[in-house]
Amino acid sequence: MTAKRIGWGAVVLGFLAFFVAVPPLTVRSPIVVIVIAVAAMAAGSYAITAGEKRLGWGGIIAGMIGLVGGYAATQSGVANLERVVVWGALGAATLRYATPLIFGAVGGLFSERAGVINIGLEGMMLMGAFFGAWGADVTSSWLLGIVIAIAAGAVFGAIHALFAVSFRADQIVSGTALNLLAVGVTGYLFVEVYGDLGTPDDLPSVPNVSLPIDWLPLLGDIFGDLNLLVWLALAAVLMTWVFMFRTSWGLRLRSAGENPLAAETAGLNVVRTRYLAVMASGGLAAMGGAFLSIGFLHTFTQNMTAGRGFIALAALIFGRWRPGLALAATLLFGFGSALAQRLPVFSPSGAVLFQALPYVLTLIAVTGLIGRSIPPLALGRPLPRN
Amino acid sequence: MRRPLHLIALLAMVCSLFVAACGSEEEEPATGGNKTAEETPAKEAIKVGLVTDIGGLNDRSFNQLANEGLERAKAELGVETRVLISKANSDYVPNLSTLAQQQYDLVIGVGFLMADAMNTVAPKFPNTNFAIIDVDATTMKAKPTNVSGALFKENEAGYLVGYMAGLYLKDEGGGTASSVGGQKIPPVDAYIAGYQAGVQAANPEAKVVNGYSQKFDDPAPCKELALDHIAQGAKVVFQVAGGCGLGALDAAKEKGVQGIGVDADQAYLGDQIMTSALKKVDVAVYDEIKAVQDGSFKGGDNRLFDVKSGGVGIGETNEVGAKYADQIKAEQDKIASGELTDIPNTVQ
Repeated sequence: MTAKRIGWGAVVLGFLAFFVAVPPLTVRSPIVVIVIAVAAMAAGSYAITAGEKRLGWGGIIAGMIGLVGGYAATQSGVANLERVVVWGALGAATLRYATPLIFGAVGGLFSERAGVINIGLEGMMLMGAFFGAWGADVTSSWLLGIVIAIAAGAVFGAIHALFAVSFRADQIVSGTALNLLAVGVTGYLFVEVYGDLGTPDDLPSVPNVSLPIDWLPLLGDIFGDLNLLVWLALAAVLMTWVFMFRTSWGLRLRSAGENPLAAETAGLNVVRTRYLAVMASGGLAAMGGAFLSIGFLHTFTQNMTAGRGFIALAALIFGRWRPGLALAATLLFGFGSALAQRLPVFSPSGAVLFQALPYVLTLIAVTGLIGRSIPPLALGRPLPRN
Repeated sequence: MRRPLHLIALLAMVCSLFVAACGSEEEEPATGGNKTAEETPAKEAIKVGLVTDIGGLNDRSFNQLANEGLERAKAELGVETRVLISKANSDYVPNLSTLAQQQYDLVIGVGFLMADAMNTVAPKFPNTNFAIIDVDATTMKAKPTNVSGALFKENEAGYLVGYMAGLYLKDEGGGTASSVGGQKIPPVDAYIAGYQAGVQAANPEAKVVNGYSQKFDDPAPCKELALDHIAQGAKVVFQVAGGCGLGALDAAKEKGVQGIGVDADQAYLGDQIMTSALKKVDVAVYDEIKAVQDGSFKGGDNRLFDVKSGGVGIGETNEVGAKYADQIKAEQDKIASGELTDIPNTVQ
């Protein structure tokens, strides 16, 4: 128990080493940073010798990050630091970057927990982006736009289920085909419907939720004026957790992904369960796309999801197929993107390198803190024939 | 269950073969060139191929303009055309090569991003004419003699819109002028450098802030950058990032500040568009095609498009921008007459 506590202490100290060096504390002396970081690494080594290997290594790595980041911060100008590290703005940008990923990861969770690999998340998201914009435009209502986006995603999910569950095709091939199909379908419809000028500039958009918390120092900046879909994404995580782990439906869905044969023997209709799960997956991923087109950007552009579906899938795996951890992973990606966008203040030529930050953070987190990811047992395996 | 499925799959494959065959047959007579060739037998229709960069045909700026030039040439000059859309940077070499192998008379590469690809492909097809937008053909490493570069003085267009932004900031009693670039490449930087010089010339007290999204297609990072600049006090946002920049202009709309479009006239995006910095890629494409047709095409050299020739300029203005029309016209004349020449084209 004590070793575990010391291990966690090491992780916290490591991040503290970085935290003291940036605004609002902005400690300018590198010695402070070095002392804290070394303490973190020492605590980490102690935890390793006491048996908490993973946590201990996590502490050592956190200490190293703190040392490098914190030292770099003490050596750079205060003005630059204050432009980059505005916690309120960083927090809001993190949530905006993370929202499509949250929807995607939660959607992927439904499908994969039921035993169907969903690499088609990207395509389902793109369908949601287009049909959200188109639906909102045609019906003049953002609410119906979201509904139509969800329907389009669910239809795409049903196609995936048709191939992956009914035809027992390779699920990765089916998902990849859907991604390519989505690029084609949305690209064609976009040019066909909107031509050269693109979506109209009075496209109905999902409103922001203004909370009367401006006076709160940090939380006001982060949560004061977020898009409704950001809140829905966070709610979706909670609801997914309740559904998956606190209801009998969730248990059935998971049993279809762990041991479909046993589930079938016990009287569960695995095929129907998987169909519904993949369709729900498509609907949720489509909401992520709708956030991009009618929530955040108020326009549709071709292939606008730009790989977010794949990153959502990565977040899901990184989050060990659990809603809470997947949320943490998407927030880490989001924070990495938000920070990467501001770092070129220090070095314009390093801008391309900074774009890799979210992935580097992931690698560190995967090797350090999170252990091996164990997927649902029957993931990727169709239901055996009678 | 097994057999019917296989049959369906087989049937689908056979059908698709037929469709493909029919499709290509139908396409042949549709490619306008032949007809015109029959009407005017003296002149044989030339074949022109265009390769877009990763922005895609519908980017509402750069590539779309190139296609408009191509379409105009098809209608007015009766040439036969084909467009290949690049989905990734790795598509440039195969796309350019495909068109060259198919004996196209002129192959046009749209954009600086395919400079290296052009440098690789052009020397391998010495009998094909190539044109490339935004690349100086005289400085290409392989020194190909069959490539014509179309160069634009983006800094002049940037200067004009920057001057307008500077005047606006003066009337607003101060503020910052923001620019959101795609990648740090010469044509983007030329716009931004001109813009910053224009802002400072009109209003020496104005501040400038600049950022690069590293993207030309995904609008989200550009919007984030613009929101960040606006939070720092930017009252004008100039986008130089193609499809990505649409996000920056959306940020301007959302926060009620002025936006400036790029390449194409983007006034249709909404009332927030103060004006646009124009770069007439359509004219360049048309001119290159015309040169090949009438035999005046010259490889290993450049065509220059500037304010004087009308190849770059300033677009439609909104109500706010209209107030400065006379002053901008005066600056435009100064540039055209050669009185104002030292506009920078690199961002310091």
